Amino acid sequence: MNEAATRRDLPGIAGSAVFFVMGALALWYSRDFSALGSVFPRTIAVTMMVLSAAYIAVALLRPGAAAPAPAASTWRRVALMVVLLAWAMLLEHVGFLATSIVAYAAILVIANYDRWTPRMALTYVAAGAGVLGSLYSIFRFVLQVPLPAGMLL
Amino acid sequence: MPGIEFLFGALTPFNILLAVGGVVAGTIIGALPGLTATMAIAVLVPFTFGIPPSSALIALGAIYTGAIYGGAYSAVLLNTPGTPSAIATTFDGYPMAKKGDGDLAITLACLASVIGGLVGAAFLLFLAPPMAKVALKFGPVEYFWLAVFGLTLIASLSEGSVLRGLVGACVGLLLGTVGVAEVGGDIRYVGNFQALLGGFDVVSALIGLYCVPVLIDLVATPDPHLKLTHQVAGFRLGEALRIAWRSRLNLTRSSLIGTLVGILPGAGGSIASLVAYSEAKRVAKHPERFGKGEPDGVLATESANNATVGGGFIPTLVLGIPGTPPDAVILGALMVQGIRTGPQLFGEQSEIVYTFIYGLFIATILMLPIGLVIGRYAFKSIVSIPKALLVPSVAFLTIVGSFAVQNNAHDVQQMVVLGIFGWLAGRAGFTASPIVLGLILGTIAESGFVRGYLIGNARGEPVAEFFTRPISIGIIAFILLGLLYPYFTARRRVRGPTNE
Repeated sequence: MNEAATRRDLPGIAGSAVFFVMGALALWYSRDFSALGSVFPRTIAVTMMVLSAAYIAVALLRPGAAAPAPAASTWRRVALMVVLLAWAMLLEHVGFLATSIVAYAAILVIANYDRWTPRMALTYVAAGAGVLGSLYSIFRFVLQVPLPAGMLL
Repeated sequence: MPGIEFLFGALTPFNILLAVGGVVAGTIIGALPGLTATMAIAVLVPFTFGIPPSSALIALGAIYTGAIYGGAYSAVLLNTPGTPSAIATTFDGYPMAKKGDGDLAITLACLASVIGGLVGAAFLLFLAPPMAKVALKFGPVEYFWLAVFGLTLIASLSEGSVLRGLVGACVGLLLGTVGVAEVGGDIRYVGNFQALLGGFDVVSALIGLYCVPVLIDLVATPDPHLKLTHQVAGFRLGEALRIAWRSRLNLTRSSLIGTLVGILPGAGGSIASLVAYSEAKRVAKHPERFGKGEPDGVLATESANNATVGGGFIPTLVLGIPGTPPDAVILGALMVQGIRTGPQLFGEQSEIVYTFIYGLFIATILMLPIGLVIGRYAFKSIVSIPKALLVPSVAFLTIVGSFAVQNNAHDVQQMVVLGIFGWLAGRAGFTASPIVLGLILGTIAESGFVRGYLIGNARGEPVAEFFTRPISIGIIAFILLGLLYPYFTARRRVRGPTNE
């Protein structure tokens, strides 16, 4: 029997375990709801727990479902998530345009794998300013979306 | 012809401009490997908030149809599908390009996309109104079962195991219960987050679940620096028209397959094109030519995936149940516009529906010149956009788009958090589509379930109310069929080699 055939779907089992707990919590918190308000979330929560448990059982009894994830950069993923979260949290207080300029530049750096050269940096700054400026103008002035100015702009 | 009086409403200069802009934008995004048709619509939805509903629908339909077609460029010229719907187009499109027929393959893909799109739109025009009349007979219990049918079907058809798909659907349904309950008025699962009182905003959630995971994965690998090895030198339209005429049966069959697959809730262009391809190969006189640059392969896949556009709009508009993942985003956009989809839409707001359907015809026809010109002159520039500029630009669109839904920063936070949650779930094998469909159908499902439960209680037979109505029994039969289908096909696959 080869390695692929004996490999267990550990991410799937972990995910199912999380969703089982999520169902149990949903069931627990529904005890304070009215009969009408609780009947649907309770039904779904129980169904989710049963299905999650069933998946865990199937994955343990029948290995060979998971394929190895392709090689990829973890720090870039985490960095992108952090930037997106910070962008979403700060845009109202600091200002939409200011946070967008910083976040855009940060993501550009995160997504670039090539060696920086002065020519490339100039091209990216010019192109980024053009894209960001035109998209911001469309939403702010054409579509009249009241983008928050915050402390800066 | 139904609603012919609204044809001129679709032909206004503004609507034609939107159709052209939508097809161009959709084609460009669809041509970029890694960005899907669903994502194209999700990031461009906010541009439609300020325009009338029928025009917004035309723009979204044009983006959708353009994005599905745009995926063919990369499939043919780079052997990399621009969208998942174009996976099967690589089978024969790329070998054609290697033989020096890349321009012919692109023109064939464009012709097939237009024909498939027109067939799907024709079915939408002629099938949706009578279906809406039937749907008027549906009660709350039928709507509950329809929602369950949509969820089980997407669980069965989406990649991975059915169990994981069903768990994902339950996650979406539970997320949909957050906030003030529509029936009963309870405040559920809000905790100390007052911003969650109104529940998760559907459009922001869709942008997060469909776009953020793609961005997270895009930054994880280096830019492939795609280089065109096979140039598009001309159109070869006459030759393509002759091949298409010779293969009219294949085109018709594939377009019908695409339309039918589109009608099934949750199934999209990728499934349709694979089914149409295998069917075209099965009935072909020379099946051995498939995979080696057979034009019929390109015609089958491209007509089928574009036919899902019109087909998918049928359950979306008639029942409020999205036919394909991009339809889920369009449904969310319609909610923002204050439009409730369902059978009454064809009576009370028929002007919007028919103007849109005729607009979809116009956008599909416009795809022929636009698609050919972009393939000939602009594709090289499109694929050379570096990832380092693409990712922050799309990220900006997700942030500003989720803010623009209700001019609320909390929606942006929900979008990012749900996006990261969607990526983590995806890593564990739980794909976004069942979660999204659960979130969208949550309201329909709960409302139908609770109302059916109340009616049944009043009659003293709460269980019988769900299982004895004739239409309900029919839908339950389809649900069982949908759930058992993957097991039958898996068993057939296992038995196959031993029988040969």
